[in-house]
Amino acid sequence: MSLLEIKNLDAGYEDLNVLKDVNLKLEKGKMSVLMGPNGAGKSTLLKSIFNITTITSGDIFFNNKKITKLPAHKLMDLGIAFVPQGKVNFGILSVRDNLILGIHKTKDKTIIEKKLKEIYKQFPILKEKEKEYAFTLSGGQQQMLAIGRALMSSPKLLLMDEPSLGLAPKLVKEMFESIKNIRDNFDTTILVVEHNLKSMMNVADDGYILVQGEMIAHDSCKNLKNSEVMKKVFVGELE
Amino acid sequence: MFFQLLINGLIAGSIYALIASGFSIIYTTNKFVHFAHGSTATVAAYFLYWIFSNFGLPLYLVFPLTILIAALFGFLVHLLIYLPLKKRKSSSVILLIASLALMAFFDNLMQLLFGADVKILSIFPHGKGIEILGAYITPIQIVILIVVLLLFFGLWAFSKYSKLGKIMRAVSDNPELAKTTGINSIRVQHWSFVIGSAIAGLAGILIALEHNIEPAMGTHLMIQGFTAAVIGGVTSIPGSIVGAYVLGLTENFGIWFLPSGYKSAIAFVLLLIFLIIRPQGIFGINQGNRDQKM
Repeated sequence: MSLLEIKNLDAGYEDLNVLKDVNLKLEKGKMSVLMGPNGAGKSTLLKSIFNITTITSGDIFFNNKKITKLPAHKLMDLGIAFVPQGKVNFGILSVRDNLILGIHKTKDKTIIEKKLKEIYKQFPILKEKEKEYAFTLSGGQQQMLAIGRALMSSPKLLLMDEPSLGLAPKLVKEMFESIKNIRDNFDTTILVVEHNLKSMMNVADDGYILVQGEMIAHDSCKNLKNSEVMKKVFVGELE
Repeated sequence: MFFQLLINGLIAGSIYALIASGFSIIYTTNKFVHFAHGSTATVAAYFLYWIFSNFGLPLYLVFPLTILIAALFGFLVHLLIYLPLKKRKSSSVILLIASLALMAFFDNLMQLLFGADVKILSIFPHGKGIEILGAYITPIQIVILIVVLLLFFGLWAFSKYSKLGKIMRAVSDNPELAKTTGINSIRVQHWSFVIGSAIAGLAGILIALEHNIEPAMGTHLMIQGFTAAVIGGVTSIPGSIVGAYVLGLTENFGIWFLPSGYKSAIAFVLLLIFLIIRPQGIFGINQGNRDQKM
């Protein structure tokens, strides 16, 4: 059963149309990777699901419910979380407060503590730094914090925009392991935009290729890896 | 002389701090300069004058009612003027121009309704005051100092420990990220106007008791409040309060050396110095570029 379905989506920013007639179907419990050259519209697609772009036509369904143009805070209630590009956190708040904001609508303190424990188990460094300002964390820690905050709400669908951006190669591998763990331990469907294709395709289930705003291919990562279309779009990237 | 100037400086600083802190609360969550914030204090002061002279209600009702009206006034200004402009994607400069128009409008409206003459509110008679170390301080001034201290302790606790306080800080730090975290930023902005304007209402009451009521009072206060906020760091609420005391003390100690007519000039010189040397203010945090914005 598909958790998220995008039908004939046209979207962009004001008068600039980026996505053209995009279709996408995410299977429950799977991790999908969205690939494409720079400027293909990958981030725009993620942002469109979260309704922070201008959608001109098409529809988005979540659990068979139409969510096109629903405000972001309502999407959170439905179980969609978004980790934007660039290790973004609330710098002037503590690590702990950053995490708690991920479920700011929950009043029950025991649930909040339980969730914090789960996140700290996944990312122990955050526990160590829980009282520090978020802006004092290193790049990798900031990325963990951003993902941790998104996970606090136990999302059914997690959208991630280039989680490996700006991380050292060793950390990139750790990051992908973490994402895999999230899929398995948190029972979360994941859609991730990534440039590190080789490592990502080893852990993801499905792959989508977006070129100049159009979805040109969709298959399992296993099939995509050796496909012609892959070689054509990313010359040399996999070799 | 020294203690008198010190006390005068602290009292002036307290009143500037009331304007500056409310202004800062609104600025940090909305990211535009709400110059009509001073008019909120003016409207509150005139409301107090009107209700006190016409209805003879007891004071314990009049004061909270005035604060409530100020909060409602701020909320309506945001809902009816700023929010429609924001929805049309107006830049912060357009909102600033709108706020200047609002300021001119409400100052003149008060003049139209109540006249240009100075109104005196004689709720508490101005006595000679109490003498401390050769300086005189009136009971109202003592009340101002205490009320402001209590309020700031409350504000500090609110922003540090309460959920709404933290959410407001989150919105002020990164509004786009707040949106993707599921925070309803419009509601938070409404709250910032309600809280900031309620504080301006309190300022209106205290100024009405300490000085007099006149249509342009809010505009003058806004200049001082804005300067105080810039000195302390516009994005930091404690900073703007410290800035207010720095300004109040500098102005008052300045007239030790200069004629008292230069008071405002001192404020502007201080504003210029800070804008040139430390534009982020005393408490403004420069997070560097490690923390990337989306």
